[in-house]
Amino acid sequence: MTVVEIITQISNLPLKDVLVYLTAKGITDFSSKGYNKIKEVIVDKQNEGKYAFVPDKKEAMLLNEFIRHPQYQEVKHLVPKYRYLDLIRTGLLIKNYNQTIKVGLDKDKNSQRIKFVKQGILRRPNGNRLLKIVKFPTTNFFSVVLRHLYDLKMNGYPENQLEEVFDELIEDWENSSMFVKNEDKPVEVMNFCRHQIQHNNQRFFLLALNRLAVDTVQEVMKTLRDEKIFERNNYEIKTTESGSEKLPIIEIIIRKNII
Amino acid sequence: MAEEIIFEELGKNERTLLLRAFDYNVDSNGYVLTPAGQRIRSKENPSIFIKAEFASLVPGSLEVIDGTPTAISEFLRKREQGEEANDCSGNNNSN
Repeated sequence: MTVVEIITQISNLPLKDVLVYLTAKGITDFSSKGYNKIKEVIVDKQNEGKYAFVPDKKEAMLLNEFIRHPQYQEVKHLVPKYRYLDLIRTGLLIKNYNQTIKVGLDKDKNSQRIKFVKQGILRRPNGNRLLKIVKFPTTNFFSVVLRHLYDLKMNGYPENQLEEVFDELIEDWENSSMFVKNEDKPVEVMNFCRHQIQHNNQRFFLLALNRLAVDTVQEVMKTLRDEKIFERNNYEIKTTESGSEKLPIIEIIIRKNII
Repeated sequence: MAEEIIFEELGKNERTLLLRAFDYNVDSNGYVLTPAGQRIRSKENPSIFIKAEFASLVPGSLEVIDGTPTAISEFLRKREQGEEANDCSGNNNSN
């Protein structure tokens, strides 16, 4: 086959098909006479700027879709210059894999992929911290924290301060939040709240996703309110209730008053 | 607005051919070599070099980056920012 014939064959093909065609013809480089012309076709097609060759096409497409993910949009809106924005998108990818595992899809493949991605991040400089950032969007508290940041923004916090708070929360959310489960006793929730207040923490969070747990949270909050412990310690409370009658959700943000 | 990016996977030989079209190469251990013949350090983890198998080859005109979700996200974000900037300048021009 002559170079002209090859070029005729490939000139209207998408780049991937060109590469597949050429390798099938045994072409592995451009050292042969006239192959520079073939090289030019490849370069021109790549320079159109529309192809990205990635290890996993499906995963890259998901990452691309996440630009429209409500939580990614929220983070971008709140802290648009956050230096780890791309790790948040990685976190959303892991969350997506976790969700598919839960419904029994590609369980082994997705579990291995999560492990591989996390190991890669852990091996990076400052890997432990980076991994915390990636894990954050996979937790139930991520949306609560975003709500808190949004409140701060509404209260006039500048972008750099929001980034500081976001960073603090990534570091601290495990200590400053309690996911109340059905089996948790009111006294445990009460102790958590008292501990946070005694340590004068700037903010802490409660989250419950079931009837029994929601009732526990509401009972505790009533007791603490009656004690006026929040007032005395200059805390304000923001409660968000959602879900349904059968599956109610309550999110409570307790934070120091913004003066 | 810029055209939607098309993601593709390539086999080992096709990937090497594409790299060679841009004067890159792949050494016997599977690492990508620059046109100057040097391995490329991972931007995310400078203690390792980029293997062709795990690399992403992205436009600009051909850039070799890490193939991790975070690196691909960074590429996408920068591309999106470029589009936003272009949209803004387009709006400015039309005003």
